[in-house]
Order: sequence, then C-alpha cells, then structure tokens
Amino acid sequence: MNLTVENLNFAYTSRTQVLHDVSFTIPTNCIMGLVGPNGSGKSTLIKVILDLLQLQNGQVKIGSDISQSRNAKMSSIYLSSNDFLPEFLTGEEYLRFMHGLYGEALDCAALTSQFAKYSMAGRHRDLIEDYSHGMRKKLQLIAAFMLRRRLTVIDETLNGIDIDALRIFEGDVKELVAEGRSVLLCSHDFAMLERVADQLAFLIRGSMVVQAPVGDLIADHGTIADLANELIQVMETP
Amino acid sequence: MKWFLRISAALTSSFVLTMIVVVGSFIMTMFSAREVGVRKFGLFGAVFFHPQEQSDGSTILEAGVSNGAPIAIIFVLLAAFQVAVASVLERLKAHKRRLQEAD
Amino acid sequence: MRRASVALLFRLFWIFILRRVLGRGLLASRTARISVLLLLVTAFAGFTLLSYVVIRQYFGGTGLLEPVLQAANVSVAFWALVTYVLIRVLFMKADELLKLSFSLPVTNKERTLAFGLFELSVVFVMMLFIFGAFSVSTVLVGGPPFIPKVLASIWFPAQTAYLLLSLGYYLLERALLTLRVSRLRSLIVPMVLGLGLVAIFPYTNEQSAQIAQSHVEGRDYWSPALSFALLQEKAGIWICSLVFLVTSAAIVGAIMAAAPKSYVPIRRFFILLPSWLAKHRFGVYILVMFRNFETTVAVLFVIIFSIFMWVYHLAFPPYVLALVTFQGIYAYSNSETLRRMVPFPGRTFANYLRLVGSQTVLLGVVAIPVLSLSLAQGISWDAIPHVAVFCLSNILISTLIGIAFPPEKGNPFTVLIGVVVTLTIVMIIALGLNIFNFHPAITAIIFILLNLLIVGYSIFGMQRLERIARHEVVS
Repeated sequence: MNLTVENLNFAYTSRTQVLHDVSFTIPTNCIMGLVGPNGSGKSTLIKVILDLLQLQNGQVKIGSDISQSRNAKMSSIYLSSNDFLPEFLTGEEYLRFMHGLYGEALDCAALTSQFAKYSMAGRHRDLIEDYSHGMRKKLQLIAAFMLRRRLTVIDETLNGIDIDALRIFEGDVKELVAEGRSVLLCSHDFAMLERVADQLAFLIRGSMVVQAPVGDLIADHGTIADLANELIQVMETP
Repeated sequence: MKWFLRISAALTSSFVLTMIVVVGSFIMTMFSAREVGVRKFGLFGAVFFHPQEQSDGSTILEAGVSNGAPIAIIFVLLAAFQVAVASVLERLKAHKRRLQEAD
Repeated sequence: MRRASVALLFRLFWIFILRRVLGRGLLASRTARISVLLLLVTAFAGFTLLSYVVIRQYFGGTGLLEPVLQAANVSVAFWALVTYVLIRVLFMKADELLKLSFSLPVTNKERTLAFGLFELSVVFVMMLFIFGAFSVSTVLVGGPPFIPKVLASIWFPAQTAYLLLSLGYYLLERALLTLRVSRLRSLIVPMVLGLGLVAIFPYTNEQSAQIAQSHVEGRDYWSPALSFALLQEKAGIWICSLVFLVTSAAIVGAIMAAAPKSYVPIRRFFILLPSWLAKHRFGVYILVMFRNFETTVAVLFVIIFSIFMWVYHLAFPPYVLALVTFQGIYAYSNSETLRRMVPFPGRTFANYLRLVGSQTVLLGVVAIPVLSLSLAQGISWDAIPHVAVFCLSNILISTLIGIAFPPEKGNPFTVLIGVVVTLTIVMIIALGLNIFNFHPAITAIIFILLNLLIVGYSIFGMQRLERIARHEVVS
C-alpha cells in the first residue's frame, strides 16, 4: 500500500469535529479520486495525511513510514488548491528549488519539454508573478511529473487549467501510476475522474461513506454524478 | 516550560515598563528643574538632574541615577504583578473552558 | 458620480484596516489592542507635555513663537513629502485593498476619490503625530489667537501639500501609462519622491534660515509656503478657510481628471542574481530578499542619500544603511511560501538563521560602496563598528516586528503598528540606559542580552505561528 489511513479523527475546536473515524488505503498503481461537497473535510483530510495539520487521532502511513517521518515527506508531493507559490522565483527556479528540497538534480531538457508540452514554451525564465492562474497550476503539475514521488496528492489543482492541458494531464497521471506510484486526486470534475481514477472515495460531513473501484460504481449507479446526488440525498434525509 | 515563558515574558515587559517610568520621571524632573545649582530628584530619589554654572558662565548638566533601589523595587513589583495577573487569567480561562464543555 | 458610493467605499477601506490590520498578530487579543492604544495615547500625551514645557520655557512671552511657527510652516511640505513617501510605498503593496473595490459597481472616478480620501485620512493621522503636539502646545502657550495661526500655518498647508503630491503622483502614473512602463511605477515613483526629498530638504533649511534672519533684522518675510499664513493675517481666518476649501476642491477636481481610467498591477519583483541560487534553501532566501521591489527602493534611497551627502560635502557615519535593514519587517511574510508549500519546512532555528543571514548578506553588499563613499568623505574607521552593530541589531528587531505583526500578502499596513510600537520601545530603552550611565562594557553586555532576547522571542514567535498553522494551538 502506498497510503494507509486508519481511524482518523480531526477537530479544529472542541465543537467542530471535521473528520470522523476516516479509514482507507491507496494501493500501488492506483489513482484514487476523492470527492465530496464543499466543507466535507477533503482539504483537511489531505493536510492531515501530509502532516500539514497535526495528527490528533489515528494513524497515517505513506508506504511503511508514518506521515511525520522524513522518509514519508520525501516520498510524497502536495499540489495545493490555492496558487500559493513563491512569486519572486522564475518557473525554472521554482523547479530547481523543489528538486533541491527532494535532493534531486534538475533535468533541464525535461524541463523544457514539459513547459512546451503544457503550452508554456519559453516561459520558464519568467517570474511566477507574471504567470496566469492556469499557468501556476500547470507549473505545480510539471513539478509533480518531474519529481515522480511514491504518493502525489492533488487538491483541486486542476481547477482553472485549459482543456488541452487537462487532456495531457490525464495521460501523464496514468503514466505516473503505471510505475508503482499512487495519486490521491481531489476534484469536482466527475467526468475527468471517470476517465482517470481507478478508485473513488466519497467524503460527506467528515465521514468516508464510499470507497470502491470506479468501474463498479459506474456499473451500479450510472455515473459518479448520479452516485453523488444519491448519497447527498440520503445524507440530507433526516 | 509554561512557567519559564510566563516569567520571562513578565520580566521583559516589566523591564520595558520600568524604563518607561524611569524615562518619564527623568523628563519630568529635567523640566521641573528651573534653578541652576539645585539638584532635583525624581522617582522616590532614584533619578536626579543637576544644572551647574561654571566659572566661565557656561552651564553644565549632570544627570543620572542616584539610587537604584526604587527602580529595582518597581521592576520586581511590576514583574510579580504580571506573573500574578497571568496566572489568574489562565485559571479563569480554564474555568470558562470547563463551563463551555459542560454545556 | 454617486457620493454614497464614495462614502461606502471609504468606509469599506477603514473597516479593512480596523479588522485586518488592527486585529492581527499580537493585536488579535483585545488586551493587547487596549495596551497598544494606551501606550500610543500615553506617548502622544507625554510628547505633547514635553513639547508644551519646552515651548513655554524657551519661547513663552519672548515673541519668538511667531517665527517658530513660520519655520514650522515652511517645513510642512518636507514632512508631508516624508509621510507621502511612506504612505505611497505602503499603498503600492496594498493590492488586496484595491481588489476589494474591483468587483463592486463603482466607477474608477468614485474609486479614486474614495481611495484619495482614505489616503488623506491616513496621512492626517500621521501628521497628527508629527505636528499634533506642537500645535496643541503652541495654542496652550500663545492662547486662543494662535488657533487660526496654527490652522493656516500647519494644517491648511499640510493638506494642500498632500493633495498636490497626490495630483503629481496621478500625473506621473498617467505619463508612465502613456510610455507603457506603468508596471515599473513601484520603482520609478519612489525614485522621483526620493529625488524630491533631496531637492526640498536644502530648500526647507534655507527658508528656515531666512525666516530667522528676517526676524533678527525686523523685516517681514514671504515665501509661497507661507501663503495661507499671510492670507490669514491680512484677510482673516474665514477668507483663508474659504480660499483653502476652493483650492482643495480645485486640486481634487484635477486629481479626478488626472487619475488613470484603469488599474495596472505593479511589478513586485525584479529578476536579480543567478538562477542556481534557487537550488539551495539559503540561496532562495537571498533571492526573496534581493528581488523585492521594496529592497530595490530602499537601496536606491540609500544610494541617493549617499550621493547627496557626497555632493554637499556632509560627513556623517552612514547610519542611512539602516534603511536597508528595515526590509526585515517583510522577511518572514515574504518567505512564507517557502515554508508552507512543502511538507518539510525545515527546523525553525535554521529558518530563522536563513532569514537573518540573507538580510546580513544584503546589508554587506550595500554597505561596501556606501562605507567606501563615507570613508572617502573623511569618516573615521572607528565609526564603522558602531554602524555595523546598529544595523545588525536593527535586522534582528525588524525581523521580530515582521514575526510579531506579520504583514499579509497585499496588505502591508499591519507593520505600521508594529513599527510604531517597536520604535517607541527601542527609543525608551536607549534613553533609559543612557540615564543609567553605565560603564560602556556593561551597556554593551545589556545590549547583547537584549538582542539575544529578541532572537529568542523571534524563534519562539516563528514556532508559535507554525504551530497555529498546524492547529496545534489556537491563535
């Protein structure tokens, strides 16, 4: 297993319990789609998994290492939902910095081809300050595809990127997991999840209500959107 | 650790407050000293200001701390007061938390 | 133009300041807010009392109050420009505040007017600190006849100077838009203002000297800066107020006409230093320090000032280098992404060393030409260690301010309170230690201990902010 989450509970205050006994696993070669309505605790779950929020209860393992360990941190990469990037660096410098943190050398040829692939040819020497919202997201994706960690966590990073880049991303992410890696992909784009995700986890009000292969879910419910509607109706019924 | 932080915070802020009191008293003493040749004291005799006329007609100013004891006492009192206030405040907060949890 | 929209926007800007500036960092607690308010009120009251005592003692009943007021009058434009430089640089970083108004149904003219009024009120608060104590004590010593004199000599010229500067700024922005270099105004505007300061400072000094000479020789003196005062003397305060209002209205109209129709975001970073530095964590901290537009502005100010000293043959130890060290205020917040975007942000102590180390590197780079210029001017080598210690200590203090009152992205105002409180405390401690008149070795030990305390509190503050971000403790 590349990610094991067991009995995870998290509360911001004593009155606001966000995650309730969440357990799930992501095997190797697997893209796990994480869906749920706004405020269901998806980003909190991701932050606890990556030790960006303090683990209060339960256990998280990345590979065989607990999430707080250096090994776990070195084998995971996080693409956040906001474009919180160092704007004083150029795209190339950002990638150089990220590679430096993970102790790897930057492959300049790969960098150039990745920028060209995502329709940003020649922009790697521009400051991130001058990048559009979509370009910043693409830069984060490029970092993930160049660093190729055991676990890649993508928190709504795909919002705002163009259709062309989305199509390229779908190919790249499948290629990434084919090499024994895993991806936790949080998105509201159900159609894209149906195309790329192997499994789907549904989080509602902090509880993991479904974790199953996408194929099975589509066979049983038609589409992920139909499943989402059913689940929300069930949860909202008093 | 909690007590160490509380005491060091109290010592730091009482140091700053003592300095404010000393500087304030000194300035007041300085501007209330109207007569040349008279040594003027302030802050319970802790600071003094002494304008003196020289033989050539010029005025020199002698100023400083004449007795450190009042300043030390002010410092200790302020620090103790802050530690006491911080302790009481924390107990009140803990009490409030307990009451909220009991609701 | 809807006046209600202007008023609502003006209110919105102030709500932003009150909630997002006066309610963050150390000021998040109500006790801290009340303490800071009391400290500021006490400092202002003390300053006023001191000013009253000095004016009464030295000028009361001597007939010198009038020329002193005239000298203050001619210096108003200089102080207004100093305040304007600070405000303008701060407001350039205030993207978030501006963005607040972009999604609202208001025209650019309404936005400009509301923003102008908001800036004016901020400038007024700052001028209140500069001239408030002097004005109150002058009226207390001179009596009620001095109320119109103070109004016409200090407050009318201050506001008119601000409005004229504002008009100049918008005209410059228009010109930069035409030349298609508007994004570079973060660099060009402070440069122009800095050169303005260099030009106005000797003019103000000369005017003050001429006022003193005219008083000694018993003749009247007039200069454009004294227009309101002269009008008040010849035609009375009501006519003077009317002229002031008409002038202000005319300048506001000109500002509205000159204001650009659209907002162009400024360039906040300049590509300096080689890319390979980004491979190392310390290298990235150096990049963030060198590439910020405020650093470039501060360095340019230091260079302009040093050249000014060289041209006028003024030999003073180069304490102006301290201007560069104030960048420490933004060091923590500007580098925050480096700690937030990765799962392993590094140890707090190591990050603190990177923050302080990168500033020391910047100081070293700027110090080499500035110190060489000072030494060539005839400054003694002995002065250099004092300047170095002062600047290094300033780096530590500035870094602490940035941690205790962290400025957010797009909202630089948070630091204002931090700077005011810290400067007040530092000045009081420096004066206090001076009164104790300790042996230099003991004073040095006390300063070392104080600096260690600053380092300790900085690291503790960083740890606390990190724990708050991880929800280990509540803010």
